[in-house]
Amino acid sequence: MGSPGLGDLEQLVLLAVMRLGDGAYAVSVRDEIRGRTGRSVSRGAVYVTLDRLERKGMLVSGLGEPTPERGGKARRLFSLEPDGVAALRASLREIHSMTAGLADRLDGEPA
Amino acid sequence: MIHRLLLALVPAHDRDAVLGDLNEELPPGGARMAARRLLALSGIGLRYEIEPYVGGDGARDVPGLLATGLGLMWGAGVAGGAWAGAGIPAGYDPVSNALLELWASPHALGMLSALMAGLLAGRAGSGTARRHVVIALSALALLSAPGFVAGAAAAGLCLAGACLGEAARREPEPDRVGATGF
Repeated sequence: MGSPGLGDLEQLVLLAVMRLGDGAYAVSVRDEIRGRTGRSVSRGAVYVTLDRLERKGMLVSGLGEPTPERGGKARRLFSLEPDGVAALRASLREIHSMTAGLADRLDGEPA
Repeated sequence: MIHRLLLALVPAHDRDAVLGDLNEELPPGGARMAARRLLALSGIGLRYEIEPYVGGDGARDVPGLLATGLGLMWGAGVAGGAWAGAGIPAGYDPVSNALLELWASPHALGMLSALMAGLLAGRAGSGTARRHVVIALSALALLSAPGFVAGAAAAGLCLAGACLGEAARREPEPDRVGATGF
């Protein structure tokens, strides 16, 4: 396998960052994941995952403008790097190849 | 709330951004109250990590250090006096010796020093450290002043001074954690 494997949460975080575009930061990423998947992820898990993906070179971050409602603290905004997009594509390919031919069993109700 | 705050803060390297996120998500005052409670419960390492974000009244500021230093010097003088009274020769420490002389002079000076020590300790220092210093100073005053009445009076003055100091330092606080200018 050419690209590093992504964990479940890493995939979700990368996809959320991709969807959010310029407005991707920890709170919006967490809300996006919860809103789309119904999965409640802890704050700590989101921060750790964002940091890890940045260390891996899949995300890059920068500071936004400080606002009064944030107590004068700036948002740390994340955006996708080419390595992140490549890792997502690789993950998607793996899922497609593993699920090929199983559509009828996966779409049905559990036995 | 506290566990969520702890989990959010501990693994994150950009704590300013994390605290901003908490401020944004939680109701005004919520994050700040949780952080203060967390400070009260946490170990000293975490306390020093988080305290700057909760408020600028930490024990590391100059008035806090000054108050603690003066309080300790005063305590050393009182302890020196007690030891000298018990037959242990004083003079091993010029600071204690000087303060011993002050304490041995008219009681008013001792009472005044108790009041001042309480006032300074109440005026500065972080919440927990302030309480500890005030309690220690009051106990020292009670135990080491010559006679129970004088000790009780000195301890009372120390506590009164701490209350005055606390009232003097109270100021409007922003309802956000680590807000700029806090």
